[in-house]
This record gives sequence, C-alpha cells and structure tokens, in this order.
Amino acid sequence: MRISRSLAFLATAATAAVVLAGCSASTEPAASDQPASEVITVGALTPGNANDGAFNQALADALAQLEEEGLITYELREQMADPAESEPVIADFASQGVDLIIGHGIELGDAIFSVAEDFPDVAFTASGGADILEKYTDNVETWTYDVSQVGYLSGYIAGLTQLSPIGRVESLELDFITATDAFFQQGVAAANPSAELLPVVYAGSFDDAEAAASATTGLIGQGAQLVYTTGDGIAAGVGAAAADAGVPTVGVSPAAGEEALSVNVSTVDLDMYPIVKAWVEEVAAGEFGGKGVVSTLQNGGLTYQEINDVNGTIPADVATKVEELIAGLADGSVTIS
Amino acid sequence: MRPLRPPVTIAAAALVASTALALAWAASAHAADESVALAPIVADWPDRFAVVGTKAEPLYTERISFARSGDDFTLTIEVLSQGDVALGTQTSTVSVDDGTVRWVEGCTKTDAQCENDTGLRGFLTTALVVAAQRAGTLPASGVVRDLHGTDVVCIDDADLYSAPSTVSLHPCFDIASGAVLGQWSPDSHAFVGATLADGFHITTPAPPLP
Repeated sequence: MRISRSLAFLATAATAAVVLAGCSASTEPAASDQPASEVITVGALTPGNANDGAFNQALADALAQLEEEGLITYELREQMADPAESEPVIADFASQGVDLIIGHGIELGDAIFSVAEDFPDVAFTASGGADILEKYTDNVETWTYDVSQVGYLSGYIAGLTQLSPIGRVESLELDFITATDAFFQQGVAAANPSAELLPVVYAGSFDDAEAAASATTGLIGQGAQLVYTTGDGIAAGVGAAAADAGVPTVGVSPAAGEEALSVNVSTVDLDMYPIVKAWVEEVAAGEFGGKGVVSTLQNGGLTYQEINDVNGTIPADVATKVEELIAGLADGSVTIS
Repeated sequence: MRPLRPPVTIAAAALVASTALALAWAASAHAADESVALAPIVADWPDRFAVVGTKAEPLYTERISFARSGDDFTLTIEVLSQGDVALGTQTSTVSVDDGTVRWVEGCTKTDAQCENDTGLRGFLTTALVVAAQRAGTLPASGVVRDLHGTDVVCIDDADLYSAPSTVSLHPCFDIASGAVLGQWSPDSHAFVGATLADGFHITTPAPPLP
C-alpha cells in the first residue's frame, strides 16, 4: 500500500527540473518563498499499516507534520515487512534520487543496509535494538528507543497515583518483559516508596484476553488498586476487567478499545517527530551519517499519553511531576540504571 | 444490502472455486451486522488454511501466523522490536479430538484444561468451534461483520463458552476459511485486542469440485 500525502514528490521534482531547464540561462532565484533544495524528499517504509494508532503510525504522523511545516515531501510504503518486497522499493527510492530513506522496524534493517552500500550519496536510517547503535555507516544512521525509560516512566506514573497495592498482568515470562518490569519497579519506588507491588501474574498468552481479564480480577480481589500491563492482545482483557471494577490501569494501549481505555491513566508512547526532524535537518545541512540515535524522554522521542484523571481518582499534579522527572533526566539530576 | 466478499488473499489454485463460493454467498443475501445461521458456514469451512498477519502496539509489532491442517491448529506470535531477533515468541498447538480440544504444545493452563480446553480463546478458537460442531453444541447463529474488507462471522462468547466470561469479546471468523481474524467488543463497539491489522493474508486450498 502506498501513501503520498500531498504529491508524488518525484513527479514534482521532475516538473521542477523541466521548469528549471526551460530557464537554464536565467540567474533569477526561484519564485518560491523557500528554495526547492531545502525541501527534503523522503521515502519511508513501515512493516505494518500507517493508521494503526501505534508503532507504524508514529512515523506516519511525524512525516505528515514535517510535510505540513514545509520541510519535506514524502512517500510512505506500508506493509513492507517482507524483505523480498521492501528491498526493491528501497532501491527504487534510492535510484530515483530520494534524499532520505527511512526503514521503520527491524524487519527493514537488512534491506536498508544492503541497498545503502550501492547508494553512498543517499541518506538511510535503520532501526533495531541497542546493538544497532554501533552499526551505523557513513550514510546509514541507526535508531532505537530506550526500553529502560519505558518501564521506568510507566512505574513512575503508577507510583504518582498513590494507589497501592499495584498489580501487574503480563503475557509471558520473557526476558524483555521481566527487564521492563524491573525498571517499572524502580519507577514506582521513585514516585511512591511506600507502594506495595503484588507479584506479576502471567496470562500465558499474547492473545487470550480472557485469561488476562481473569488475572486482573484476581489481583483486584487481592486488593490491587491499580493494574499495570504492557500493550499487546491481552490489554483488552486487563482494561475491560479493570474498568468493570472501577480500578485504574497504566499501560493499556489504544487497540484495547474505548471501554478498556476509560480507566487507563496513561501509556508510554513513541513520538518519531523529533527524531525524523533531526535527520531531515542533518540531510539539509549535509551533516547526515555516522551515528546512532536513541529515542528518550529527554529528546521527546518517548512520550506518554495525556494523563487521564479517571473521574478525579488520580491526583491533579501527576502530569506536572512527570514533566519534572523528564526535566531531571535532561539536566542529569535524575538517572536510571 | 451488500454481498459478502471473499477474504483478502486466496491461493491462486482456489481462485475459480472461491469465486463460485463468493457468488454463492452473494446469493444468500446476508448483510453486515445481520444474524446468520452458523451451521452451514462452519460446514463449508475447508480443513486447511494458513494466515499471516500483524498487530501493532505503541512500541513494537507482533508477527502472527496460524494455520489449520485437518484437526491440528498451530499459532506463532513473534514480538518484534528490539534487536536482530524477535523479543519473544509464543508457540501454541491444539488438536480437535472428537468433540474436545486438547493442547499439544504451549499450554499454560491446568492439566485438566490442557486435556479438554472448553475456554480456548484467541487465534486458535476455530478449534473450539470445530469441536462444538462435532459435539453437536455449535451455537445457532453469529453476526456478520466487516473486518478490513473481509466478511467475518462473530459468535457471542456467551453462546460459545459454558463458563461466563470476565470480559465480553466475541471471536470473529473469516466466513470463507474459518480463521479467527479478530475480537469484537460489544462494549466498545469495535474490534479490539487480538485482532489482525489490515493487510493479512489467508491461504486456503481449493474445495472439491461439485
């Protein structure tokens, strides 16, 4: 599937070339308020759908905003998880002279690096885990996000609610889930040292919402005043069971549905705008390449959904205190380890 | 009233036969949100299908693949985000044995439930419906809905499960193949939770010629 918000940028570039060719003897500047050379052309690929309200849409929203600001024109190709499909698209972008090519998702990494070798004058980005940060090249910048901050901020928000005990419902006992949970616990302790954490309950599945709902109900029966979960198919069960009991949650994602979200205080989210904008500015300045970048709370690449006070249940100063935390991370007075 | 449509992708070998099926569905004149009899739909499900799709979360995506091969049903969910390999993988296999569903791999429930899971949820729920059909306990009807342009029939969980659900989510099955594509929330009036994103691919074999 293809999305081109306002124009086929290559067609525009071709038109501009024709116009310029017709005026090749002229030394007059372009009539446009902004020289065409400052509008960066971007080709972007996502593994899923750009309207998913989640990981893929984070990039789509950033591109749309940058286009609205007149900084880029772009073409976005969705559902590019299969390298057999994505690599020709990336090569096509590169061969047509696109300035910046963004591969959003680890499924696109190999194809990006492969094509980038053949187009040293084109800027590319690839994403992955922490290990990808050292894999940058002269024309490929790499990107990831700080998973420790995801867990920490979720816990910090949960702690700021002053609700205790706190229950946690997760899918499977996997390394990344237990690692995130460790940072969640740090965040809770930082915001509310007296908060009690009930043992994590695993639903045993990514797709059995009923198991998660049953676990949530069990935790509420044990006295849980707030339930945390990480976003996946089970969040619909956590959110619905919590909503039914009038118990706030943290971490429920939009895909869980309106009912589940009605009691969700907040969920940590991705904002690709500051990251993509920095890439665009680097390309425009001829300074792109040779580094990796991490989305963090400090640089705005990680953010959180607007605090829901759940009908006055949540203290009014939660958002203020979260902003103070972010400021502390930025100035170094707060560290997460 | 609009005609029912075939699934997103059908194996080339099945195209002609599937077109005939689609025409048959059109002739039946069901519409979205209309209650339909389940028995004829389930009876026409092929005994094989394969589905590949995704589901996106704020910070990662899940790659979901599941299949039916006769009485065996398998599911793999990979969480993709950080690192060169999947963060984690759920692998589940169940089998329909007469009128019951037995776990073969990945059961996290009690021993009794693993031997006879009457509460199976998620993308493997087709097995429970097939078992119910064989046991003569298939719910009478479901509701036709449109999921990303594919006609699905959603079964009220109160009709499908003997024990009351904590959260009401109605599993929704591709009418042509029986594959579970999503979960309908009557409270949110939307597909929620374990629901495939647009762009999934369903492969079914050609049904026998009449």
